[in-house]
Amino acid sequence: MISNYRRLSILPLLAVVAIALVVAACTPAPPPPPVPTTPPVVEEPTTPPEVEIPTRVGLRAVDDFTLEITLTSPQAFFDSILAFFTTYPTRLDVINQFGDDWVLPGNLVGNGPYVLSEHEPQDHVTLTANPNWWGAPFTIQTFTQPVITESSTMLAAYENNELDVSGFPSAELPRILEDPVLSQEFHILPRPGVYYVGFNTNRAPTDNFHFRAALASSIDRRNILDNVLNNPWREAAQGVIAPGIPGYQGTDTGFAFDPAAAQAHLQLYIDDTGQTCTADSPCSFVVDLWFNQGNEDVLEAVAAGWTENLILTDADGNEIAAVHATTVRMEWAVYLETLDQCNATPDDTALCDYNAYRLGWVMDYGDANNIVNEVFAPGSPFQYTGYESAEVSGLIDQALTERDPAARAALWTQAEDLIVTDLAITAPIFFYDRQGLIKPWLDFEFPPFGAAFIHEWGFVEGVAVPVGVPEGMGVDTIRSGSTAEPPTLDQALATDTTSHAIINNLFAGLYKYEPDGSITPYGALSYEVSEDGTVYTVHLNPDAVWSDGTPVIAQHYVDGICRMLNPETAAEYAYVMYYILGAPEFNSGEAVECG
Amino acid sequence: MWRYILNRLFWAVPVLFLVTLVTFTAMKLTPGGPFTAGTSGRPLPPRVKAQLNEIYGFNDPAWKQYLNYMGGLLRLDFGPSYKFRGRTVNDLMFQGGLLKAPLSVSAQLGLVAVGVALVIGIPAGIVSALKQNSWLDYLAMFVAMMGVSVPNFVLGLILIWIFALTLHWLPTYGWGETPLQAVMPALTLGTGGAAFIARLTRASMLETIRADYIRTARAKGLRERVVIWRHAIKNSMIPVVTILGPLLAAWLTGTFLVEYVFSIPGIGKMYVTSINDRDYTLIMGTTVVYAVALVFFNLAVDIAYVFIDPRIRFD
Amino acid sequence: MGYILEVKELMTQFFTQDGVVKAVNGVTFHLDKGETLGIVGESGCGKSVTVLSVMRLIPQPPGKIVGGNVLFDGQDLLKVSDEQIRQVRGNKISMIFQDPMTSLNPVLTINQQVSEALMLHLGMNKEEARQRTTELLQTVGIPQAEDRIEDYPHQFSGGMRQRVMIAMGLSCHPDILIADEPTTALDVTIQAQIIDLVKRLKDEFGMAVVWITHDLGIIAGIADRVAVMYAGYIIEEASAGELYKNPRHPYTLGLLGSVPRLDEIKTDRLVSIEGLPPDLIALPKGCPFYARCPFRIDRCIEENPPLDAQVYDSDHRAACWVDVTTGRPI
Repeated sequence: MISNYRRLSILPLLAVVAIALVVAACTPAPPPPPVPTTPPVVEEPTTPPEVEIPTRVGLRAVDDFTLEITLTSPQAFFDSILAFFTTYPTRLDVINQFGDDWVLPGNLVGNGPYVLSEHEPQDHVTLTANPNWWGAPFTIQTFTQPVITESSTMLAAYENNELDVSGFPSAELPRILEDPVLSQEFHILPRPGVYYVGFNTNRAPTDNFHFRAALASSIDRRNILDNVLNNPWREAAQGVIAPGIPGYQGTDTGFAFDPAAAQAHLQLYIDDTGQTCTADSPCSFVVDLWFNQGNEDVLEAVAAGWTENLILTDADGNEIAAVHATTVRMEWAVYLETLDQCNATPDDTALCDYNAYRLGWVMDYGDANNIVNEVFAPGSPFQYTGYESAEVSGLIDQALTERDPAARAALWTQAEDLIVTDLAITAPIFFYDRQGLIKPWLDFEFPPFGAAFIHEWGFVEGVAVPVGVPEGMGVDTIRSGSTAEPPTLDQALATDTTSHAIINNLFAGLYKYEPDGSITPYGALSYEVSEDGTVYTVHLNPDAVWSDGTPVIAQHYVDGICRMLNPETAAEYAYVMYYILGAPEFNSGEAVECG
Repeated sequence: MWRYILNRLFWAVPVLFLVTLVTFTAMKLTPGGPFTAGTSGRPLPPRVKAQLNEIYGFNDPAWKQYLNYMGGLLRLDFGPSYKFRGRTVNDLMFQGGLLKAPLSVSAQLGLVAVGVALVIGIPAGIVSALKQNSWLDYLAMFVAMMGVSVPNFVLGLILIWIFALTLHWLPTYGWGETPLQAVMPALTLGTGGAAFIARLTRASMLETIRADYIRTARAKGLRERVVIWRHAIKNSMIPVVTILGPLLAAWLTGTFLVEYVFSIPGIGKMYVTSINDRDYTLIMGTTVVYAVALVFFNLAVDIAYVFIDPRIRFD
Repeated sequence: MGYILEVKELMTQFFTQDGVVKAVNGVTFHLDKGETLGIVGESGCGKSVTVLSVMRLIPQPPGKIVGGNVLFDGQDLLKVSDEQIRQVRGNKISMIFQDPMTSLNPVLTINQQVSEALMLHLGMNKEEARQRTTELLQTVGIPQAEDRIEDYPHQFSGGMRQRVMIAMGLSCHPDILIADEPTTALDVTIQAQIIDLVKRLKDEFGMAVVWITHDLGIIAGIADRVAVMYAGYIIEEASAGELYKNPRHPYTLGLLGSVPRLDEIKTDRLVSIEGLPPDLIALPKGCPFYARCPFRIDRCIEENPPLDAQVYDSDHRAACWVDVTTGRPI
């Protein structure tokens, strides 16, 4: 009996191990990786060729309340970065005292309106009002972010009045829009960003402009938004610069859905490449479209559009040429790894056997630099088209140094036209937005970039809160569901919305974003820029104190930026600060000082 | 008996070693490393990826990484988490102490569910057996049939719909704030087990009450109640206990879904998310903890036999 | 003086999916004080069902006692309340069963199982019951009873377990001990020991014994009187000596022909009577033994002979239309 039973009970044990094996087995195997040589070095797009290596990173605490930032060249959009989390001040003494545990409740010291009072991993994070807050008093005393991984459970919790703010599974959207209550609590807010298909310019047939133009013209974006995503309010994208960002062009750039024009481009491609396509021997062009799991609906519709619209017939109506789109779906990490390997070895045609791939970009700050340059500049690590264009690079360099806002926007516009129209290296599909359910008693606001400032929220007068809700709801507490545990509360390492929803309220940067996209002083009072546009002098608010009561000084900001740039920190967003003199070198481990 | 326990524990060592080896190999064979995508959902810049690979020792050959890991494991150090930067796997798995650590939360859920399963399953099985072929028996077995066939998460969603969305009686998610939070997860997890135990108890009880020694007990003039309680139940529980070990183990894996659906910060939810995150060390850590828990449960059930069935001796 | 137990026209049936199994069909017998009655028959002849019916231990459903009386101590055991019958069971009438391996509860100690009846019927406390249990175990010949009282049944041999069963049966000084094939599962030497033990204890305790067996050889040594059962009927009843000397039913005759003598080496299988007993679901209208009977006559098809078809010396009765000594109809 015992031996029998033992045999039985080993099964679940094996099952546990099997799960790990199944993950391995079910993920499509990637092409064999290239023989590793040295780590691939990709030239960062915004690093101008520096002849002289500076000895110090261009950061200086002039006095306790004056911070000086020296840039490599005049970067006119840099004020946007003053509102980015990469400039948060940091208390190195706290980090040195607690080590990795400095982010735990009780240890973490911030300069924002809230302090971290509870953090139970996989369960919830709770913030409470900072007793040493140096700004104006506010209403919301407690902010709790419970982790509810399953989005349908989150929606149920919201409907059961356990949450003030909630996401929802996309399958529930039609019900939400029809529900008399939920439809009133459903909000669409701006979140500039673009969802796009990029083309591999190193592989036939997408190595030809006309073929890419044919593909870009045969995507029925409106149909995808209206009928596939059920998001009819979203704007179809022809360019990459999102609405609300200076330089946005609407339908004045890129390719609209136009099957006739698409077919004309396909004919031009055939002529270009000297192929003969007849009814007797029709041409067939295969397009391999890669995407990651979760985008099946949109990308299958894109592929169907290509296959259905790109058919050429002769005068008798006989088919002479046709495009056949095939789709390959991959798990996210596998997808990126495969694309990355391909970017490292663009000539490896066996590895890079895609013609088109899908990615998206949600903007970090309100300047087109964040998308046109950081994503679509030739050689950017964030795109996989393999295109080269001295013209685009030249326009980007010009835009970076152009200090007149209108002229700069015009330069971004020109660069965008090249990328999406003249070169057609990408076919944008639609612009993102932010969707959520918010209880009617909340007076809320979201800036277009980054997370909400909870201390600016309040309650709507006269809206009653149902009985039986959790304590404090509708009085002084907000509960906002999150589908993930925040990966980290270390501001140098956090790059995701979940972590930022917390950190954004624990720390105060120099400036902050308003709902209209403008920036206003936060930890700073004002700044001025030197004549040549390379030196930013920021005057700090002398009233600002940390949650332990000590004053916030300029050195804390220097420490924060230097820690982020330190290669030992391995911060994902370090590159955002590369416009600072010496920053890329310091981040690459060269002998440059910071601090 | 002590020798038996020591023997079992001794054999657990190679089993655990095998578990780590298989898991490690599986993780290494799985395409897509932990540092392919940033947490922002964007590709990680190559420079950052190189920095991370250096920091976490990914540039070492696989065998060396494994030896390093095992070296740490011997000191009960599960290594750093790859997803939760700055946190160790030990932090993630044991933070919160006896009451709130994920393993403890799962154990609490498991125990409540076992309680539900036993409290519902055993009486239902006994009543069914004693009233064999009555409407009570048919009803109980119909419900048990349903309980066995309805998947956990479907039941979970049905319960949420009834008790949270329609009646507003119970909270939907979480653990440890109020006992009400335990009701739906425990029912979800426990009813499947209850149904299973009810069927098993019924079958076992039917066999037992036909046994000769039950006739002997009746021939002594004992009351029916005494005959059932004293003579039948303990005997009919032997197969139930036999199945309890594997069942507990199955529950540990079953908690994955229930913890996921009800957002309970247990080790099952952590295990699932760690796989999604490719958090290698956390996957390893949770797997090892699971394996240890399974060995422990099996041993505990083996020991429980000794108390319920005197015929079994570990000599 | 009346009988200590009187069973009249007892009828027990089992209601199964295949039909009604007529296991006991109007059995009538009696038991005198201090007497040993043997009930003999092949497997399935209804002898066990008869005594289980007396104790009302027939599993119900599917079994049901459909008629008759069991008179004991001035009352009809078939009509008293459940509570009253429980006071008789294990107290006034106790029973030991065929298979000592399965008749003891494997998860309770010997002490727990023997003490139970003592505490229930005699109102002893735990300590008294334990004391008495030890004595009883000594009485039935279990060595080192004191030490073995907390052992579990699986720690005992088959013979020892049957001794435990007997100790349990005797515990409340019953008026009647019903032994349902208590030696069948034991090997021959142990059988003899158990028989001797019961014989000794019967005198010591002054009880009446009903001994059920399929083995006429055993009965010869223990019973005062013997009833032979076939297909749910008693077909012959006589004092032990008379039955062996002068069997009057063809079936008894057959059984005696198949009895191995105790002093013979047990090598051959029993010489069995040709043919099979009738299907108890579809009993024939006439004599149930007709199909196998070497003496059968036409009357046997039509009329089932009653037990008093032949009566000799007042207590020897046989249910047969034929005089087997002459082979002629009576």
